Amino acid sequence: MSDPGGMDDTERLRQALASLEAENESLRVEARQSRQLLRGLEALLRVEPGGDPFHSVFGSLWTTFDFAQAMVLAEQDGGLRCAVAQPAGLAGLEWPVGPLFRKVLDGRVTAVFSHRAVEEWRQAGPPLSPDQPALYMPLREARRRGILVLLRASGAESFSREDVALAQRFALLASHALAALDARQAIEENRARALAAEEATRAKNMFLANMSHELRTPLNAILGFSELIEGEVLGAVGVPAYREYAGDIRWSGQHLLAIVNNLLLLSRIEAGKYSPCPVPVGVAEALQGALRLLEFDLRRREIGVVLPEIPADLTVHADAQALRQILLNLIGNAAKFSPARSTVEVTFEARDDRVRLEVVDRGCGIPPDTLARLGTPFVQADNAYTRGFQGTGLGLAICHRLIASIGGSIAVESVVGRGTRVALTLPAAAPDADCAAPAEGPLPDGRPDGPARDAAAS
Amino acid sequence: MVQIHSFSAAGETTGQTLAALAGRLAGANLSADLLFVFYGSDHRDAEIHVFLQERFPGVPVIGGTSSGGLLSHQGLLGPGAIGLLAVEDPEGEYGVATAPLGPDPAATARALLDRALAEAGCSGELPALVWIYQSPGQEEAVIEGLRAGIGDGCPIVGGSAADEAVEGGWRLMSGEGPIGEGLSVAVLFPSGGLSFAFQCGYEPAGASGVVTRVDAPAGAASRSRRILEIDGAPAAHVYDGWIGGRLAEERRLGGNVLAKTTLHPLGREVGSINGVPQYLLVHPDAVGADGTLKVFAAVSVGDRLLQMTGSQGLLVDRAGRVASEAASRLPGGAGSLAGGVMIYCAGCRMAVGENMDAVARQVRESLAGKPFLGSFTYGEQGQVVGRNGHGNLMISFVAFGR
Repeated sequence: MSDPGGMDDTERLRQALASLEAENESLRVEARQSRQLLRGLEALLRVEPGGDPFHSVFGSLWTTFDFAQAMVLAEQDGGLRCAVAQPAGLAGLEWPVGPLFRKVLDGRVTAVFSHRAVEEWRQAGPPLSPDQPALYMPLREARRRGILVLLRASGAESFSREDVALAQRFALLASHALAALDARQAIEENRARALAAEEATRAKNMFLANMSHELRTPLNAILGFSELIEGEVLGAVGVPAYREYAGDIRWSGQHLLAIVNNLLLLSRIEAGKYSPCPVPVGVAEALQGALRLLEFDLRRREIGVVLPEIPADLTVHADAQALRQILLNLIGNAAKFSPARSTVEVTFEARDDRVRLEVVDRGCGIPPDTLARLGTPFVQADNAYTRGFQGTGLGLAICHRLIASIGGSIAVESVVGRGTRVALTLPAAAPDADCAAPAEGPLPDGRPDGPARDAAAS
Repeated sequence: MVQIHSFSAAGETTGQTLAALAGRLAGANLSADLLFVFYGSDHRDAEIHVFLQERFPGVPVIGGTSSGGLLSHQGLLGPGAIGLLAVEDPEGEYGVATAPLGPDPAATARALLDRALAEAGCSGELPALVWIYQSPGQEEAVIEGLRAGIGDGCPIVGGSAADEAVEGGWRLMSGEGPIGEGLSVAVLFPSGGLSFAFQCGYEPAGASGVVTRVDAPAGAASRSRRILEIDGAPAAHVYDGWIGGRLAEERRLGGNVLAKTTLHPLGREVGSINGVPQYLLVHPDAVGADGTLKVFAAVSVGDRLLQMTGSQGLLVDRAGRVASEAASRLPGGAGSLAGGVMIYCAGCRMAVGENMDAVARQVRESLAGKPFLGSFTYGEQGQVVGRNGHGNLMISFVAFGR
């Protein structure tokens, strides 16, 4: 096909050069646009958080685009409102959302060469010429959407496809920058909230600890003197009913003391001042110890506790007093929410390096919404089954924390009206480990708050 | 997601051709959002219109007659062919408006642009590209009318409908039916990428002169398609001197010179890209015994006209390169190409003659077999050095990305 004069080759070379130059020009445009975008982005990110982020976008425009006027329209009450503008007189102008703005809000950058047939302009009637070419860019930040509008003078050259391409990249970067600004602001707000919450918790714990100490002092006098009266240590009371009343005072005082002790323990745990001392503890002895403490209440309501045959050498790695409090709480709650003259069943399973104890009752059960919140202080199931029971909701909250502190876990399954199964899993101690002495002494700081179940009905 | 489908068929009659086309469409499950249609001027437009209305009701249609067959990924199809290129792009927006040009072609073009935008649901918006098909003769005015709206910020690409012998048998086809003298404007807002290339396959041969007189009313803009003088001498004489006296007989009697001048057109430098000059070509189609030179694109007094030269080999290669360049300019690169539409000058097609199959093959290879449809036209519109314009002996390709 080539002609003898080599003209084809010359023309091909010329066209190849033209193609290369065109490619070069395209790269130059790309580089120039990237520089413009970078400057715009730098301006955008220099803006301190706290102000309206749409304003910061506005400030970054001037380094990127060639235009005469600009507006940022922000979504408000189903329409758009000009949040910031140059000239400032356009600020506050309200715009409806029509076909054009819908497309832009949905993410499309759009150049408009004439607004004469644009529905939004017809309705809003802005103090602008409909022949002003415009470039519309979508803006998104976490809380709202907006539109950035650049306007040229009436009769000026329309924004081009290259402007649209640049605007697409700018809108994307601006939205990312807004998201970053928003995230930074959210982090700072969260940090401030966390600090405030920590401060509030610290104050609350201090108050609880102080109040508990203040309560314990008179309680000791109440308990001591009521015991003296009940036991007629200094002489007969005379009227038998008074002796019974003194017994009631003592019982109520003990109940109150348990609550105060629980409050003190919880505040110590939450303040990070509670340190467990895990040692090998015999499971059978720990269970028997807990049952001895509950004996009075169990007998009073004729609740039987069925214990399995537990090998004497089965031990767990736990703080002995914490374990006693956990067992007291779990079995005490099961008994409390069981009907009179029923039984609570305890089972165990030793597998690998864990020991699993289950406490099963046939009580009133826990509603699903309360199950999800178990372990939160002061949470009790609020239903018809539990309203007749006392409790502060502290016991299970303390249990959860004590269990976590000794490397254990707890799982609760419950069906309202049928009962509850609480599974306690604890790390097993080495088989030949020496066991701690039975935890019969005073509780670390508290004991179950009397016979009351803390978290929920069972 | 944009999908492009191209279907074509050839037959003795319009009915037979449409029946064959219907057979090809039967197996295709497509929902077109814009339809390009090209066909030979011997076909019966009314039947084609009914066919399109039945199969693609409500779909915007643009196209018309082509000279000397069609180009498609299936090869060169003879003058009896009808070709369809369907753009399937449910997320894109497309609109077409068609009307006779009337006494003020520029105003008509501007009004049709607004109508097409309204049809697309994009009033006032700058499209990704405006694609036009029109009857030959008023292309410059049409371009000016469109530029009055969208300027040069948006490429205007297209062609001028053609017949088989420059006898005025060209027509346009739209959803509203066929028309003879008029303009169709399509506005394209595709959901995928879009790019185009617009080039010629010629280079300057050395000679040049300045237009000193055209056939335009005194005092009016001295712009015309009838050149009276170049460098103060009869234009036909000057031009014939540049090309070695090939037009001696026509100069004596006056007559059509289209075929003889295809490889030796005139050119106007319209700018340069980093030092490489860019040309819009002007194809001489007739000379008068009085020394006038009639051309297919308007020139102005003061324009410097260059003698350009080309070869069959260049015209064969050029189409593939234009298609390849358009595809490579897609935002997603050539790999994202879905297909495209080509305009190839009917004069070049005439010069290439029997080798047009090689043109089709090169375009197909450049597009890696992706569907395309091409029409042979009597004028080509496109953007050179950032300015929309009209030229002759040009090739354009609009590439749709997925």
